Amino acid sequence: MIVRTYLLTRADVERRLLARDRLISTNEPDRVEIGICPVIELLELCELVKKGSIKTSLPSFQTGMQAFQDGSVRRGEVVIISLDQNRLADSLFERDDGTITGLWYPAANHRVSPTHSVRRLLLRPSEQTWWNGDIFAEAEAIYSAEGLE
Amino acid sequence: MLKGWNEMLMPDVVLDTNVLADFLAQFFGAAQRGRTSFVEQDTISRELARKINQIVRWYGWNSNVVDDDEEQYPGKVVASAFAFVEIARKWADIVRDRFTVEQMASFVEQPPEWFVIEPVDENLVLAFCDIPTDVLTTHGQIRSLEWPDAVHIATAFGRGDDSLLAVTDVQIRRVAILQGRLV
Repeated sequence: MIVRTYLLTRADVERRLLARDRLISTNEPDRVEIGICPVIELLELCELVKKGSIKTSLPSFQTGMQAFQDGSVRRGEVVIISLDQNRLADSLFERDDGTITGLWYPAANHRVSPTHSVRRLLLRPSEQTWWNGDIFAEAEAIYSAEGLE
Repeated sequence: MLKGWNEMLMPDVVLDTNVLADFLAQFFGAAQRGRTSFVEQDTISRELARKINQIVRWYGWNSNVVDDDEEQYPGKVVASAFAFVEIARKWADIVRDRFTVEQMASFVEQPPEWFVIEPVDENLVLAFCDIPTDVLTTHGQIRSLEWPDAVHIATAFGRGDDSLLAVTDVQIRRVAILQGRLV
């Protein structure tokens, strides 16, 4: 079986949650696609809704979020990547042969916005991550310019 | 078991970024990883130090108690995973050579049993929905809350209705919905 992972961008998440776009499953018996959704996109979308930058109501966002969790996430079509203790330990530090050598500079510097720092930590490829390493590069291409402070 | 503490339900104490850094400075400094007391210093108030010490001592004396015992919950010290990210982003300004990257890494890897690193996950997003963007301060002014500040409040709300929050931002400390929950 071939498993392909792909990045869910903020725009993708907005369409899924607010426009309630249904995911058209193209999965076939020998081919599965899984969307990788960094939790920061949900948080930022929520922030934009709360601040009125996106014309929809907060209850509408909450309903969309519930439907997203009960639908695509529960069916395994989308995985929300969280910043938990393990991901933090795995991503925030530079290691050399298991020894800590410093902080991981792409996320640990004040010139990067908090949003993009968290996104980088969520998607940083490592031995612990199971999704396609190109997803990190794709996110960088989309967000790195706006991620600077 | 410590006498008198056998039916204890205490709130969690959530630390924001600056308080977490000052906590870690004491943890790896004078408090010797909780073997001696935390004290009032920097952003750690006397009341916060007292609550942290209460939690640490309880776990020291009751190390075999399971977490889900409904009659015995002494609370935990809690910080969002995001607070560690913020410390890393502003390392020089916040840490001021009081602890090392290796020490913070070891803490993140294996915090004490009385400390919880709360994830930034979909549950936090749901709690975040309930935090207003414009908040009324106790002085009657409207203040806009940015998400990096709101995350700590959402983390506290997600830890239960009676959880306490230790924050340094003077404006946030005046937020009306937080009154009675600050330490």
